[in-house]
Amino acid sequence: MSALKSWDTSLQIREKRTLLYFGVLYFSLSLAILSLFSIGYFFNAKDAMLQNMRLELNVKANTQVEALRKFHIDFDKTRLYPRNDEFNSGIFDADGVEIFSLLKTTPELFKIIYLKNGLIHYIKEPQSHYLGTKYLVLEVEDDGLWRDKALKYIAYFWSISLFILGVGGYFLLKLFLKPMKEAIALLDRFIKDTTHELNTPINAILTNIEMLEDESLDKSVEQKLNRIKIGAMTVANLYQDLTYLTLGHKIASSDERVEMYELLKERLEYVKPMCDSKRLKTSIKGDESFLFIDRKKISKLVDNLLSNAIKYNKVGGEINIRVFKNHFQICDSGRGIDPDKLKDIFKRYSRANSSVGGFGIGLSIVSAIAKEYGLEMELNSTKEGTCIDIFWD
Amino acid sequence: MYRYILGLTLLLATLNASVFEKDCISCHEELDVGLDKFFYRYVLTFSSQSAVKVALKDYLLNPMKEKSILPEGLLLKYGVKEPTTLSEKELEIAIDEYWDRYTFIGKIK
Repeated sequence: MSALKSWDTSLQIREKRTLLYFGVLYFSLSLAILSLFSIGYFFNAKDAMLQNMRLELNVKANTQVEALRKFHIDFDKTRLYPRNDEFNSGIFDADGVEIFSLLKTTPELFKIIYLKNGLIHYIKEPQSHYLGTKYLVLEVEDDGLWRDKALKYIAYFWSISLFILGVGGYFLLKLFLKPMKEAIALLDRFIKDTTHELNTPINAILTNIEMLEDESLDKSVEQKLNRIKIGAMTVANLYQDLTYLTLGHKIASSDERVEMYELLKERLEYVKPMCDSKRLKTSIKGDESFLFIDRKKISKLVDNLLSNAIKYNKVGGEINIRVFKNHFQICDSGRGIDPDKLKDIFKRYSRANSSVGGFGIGLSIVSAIAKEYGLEMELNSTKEGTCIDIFWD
Repeated sequence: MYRYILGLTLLLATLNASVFEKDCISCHEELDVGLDKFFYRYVLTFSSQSAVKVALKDYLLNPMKEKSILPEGLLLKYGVKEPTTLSEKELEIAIDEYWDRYTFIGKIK
């Protein structure tokens, strides 16, 4: 159970991205709905203010109509337009032509009341056209109190709504994550349980094969035995991968100065039966090169790279290893990796080609070991083959 | 001698007078109600320049009681006027001058 607990079942980048998309979508939609409500409320508040103002301005407009009536009658005596301290006004004829105006802006005569540029315009049509007045326009400044009040309520509304949506979103996310986490935990538990059961039979198979190899065997039996050995080695490699995944974080590293040319040569020799089964030509060139690292881990890294180079290679292809001072390269002549899959290739359970078997954990382990020791990886893949370079300081 | 000069001046003035002055003011001067009052009533009823001119022209070409904007009392006193003897063109010129002379636009302070 301790292994179970130690296994990191936290969400990977892919899952986190899904969550991020969900979060962005959830909050975008929430914000859109809140904005719509807020805009609706704001315009509603504005309309309510204008309705109140309409009643108030209508009374003032009636006063002005009466003043216009007197002005019309007394036009011979005075030409001074009747003014009012509470509002500006203007009069317009049936064609919309200005007869006289004290307004700050040109009014929109086809409306009844509206707010524009901080000014409220109320348009009244008197029953009699005093001085030709078809439209009497009253203009007052908007004090903006309704706006302040509306914005204050909108701010309260947003604060409360965001709090509720945030809390709701948190629980929704947890609900959303639960099946995903359970699925990952189930897969991990299955792998761990399987791992425990693999060790003994694999060791028994490999030991017995080695014992048989010492004896002189018939050619056809030797071939069959070789195939069994390849199969057992594949399972052994998988077992090691799974062991690394389950216990990798708990195993203390025993770093040492490893000569990479020799190690790569040794690992190439180890996978030789598998290379032979696909008639792969192998080569290794280079010089002495040292890396301070845990031997088991770097072996695991190399084994996984070689395993992939074999697995995804064509029959009769090549595997070429080159070793430099602070860098080595493993190239194969396989079909290459689809460019769309390149970015995900180092993630767990990701496979370059589903037609080839495997859990898709090999490169994930490579990536984890490289990250632990600060190794840089460079992957170049074309239709002619794939090269992976590992750099260190 | 002075009488001739005065007579000649009046003759020239009459010759230079516009259609509106000759054919409208001259008659209305004899009435109790000035032309300006008629104008105010037209504007009160029809509001805009275009509407006033159309209504005035229509009435002067075909005067009818129903079309008159005069109060009942004045209509009884003066009756409906005779149709104008002016041509349409002359009538339009006279109405334009009438509008320009009495319009409120540009005169209010």
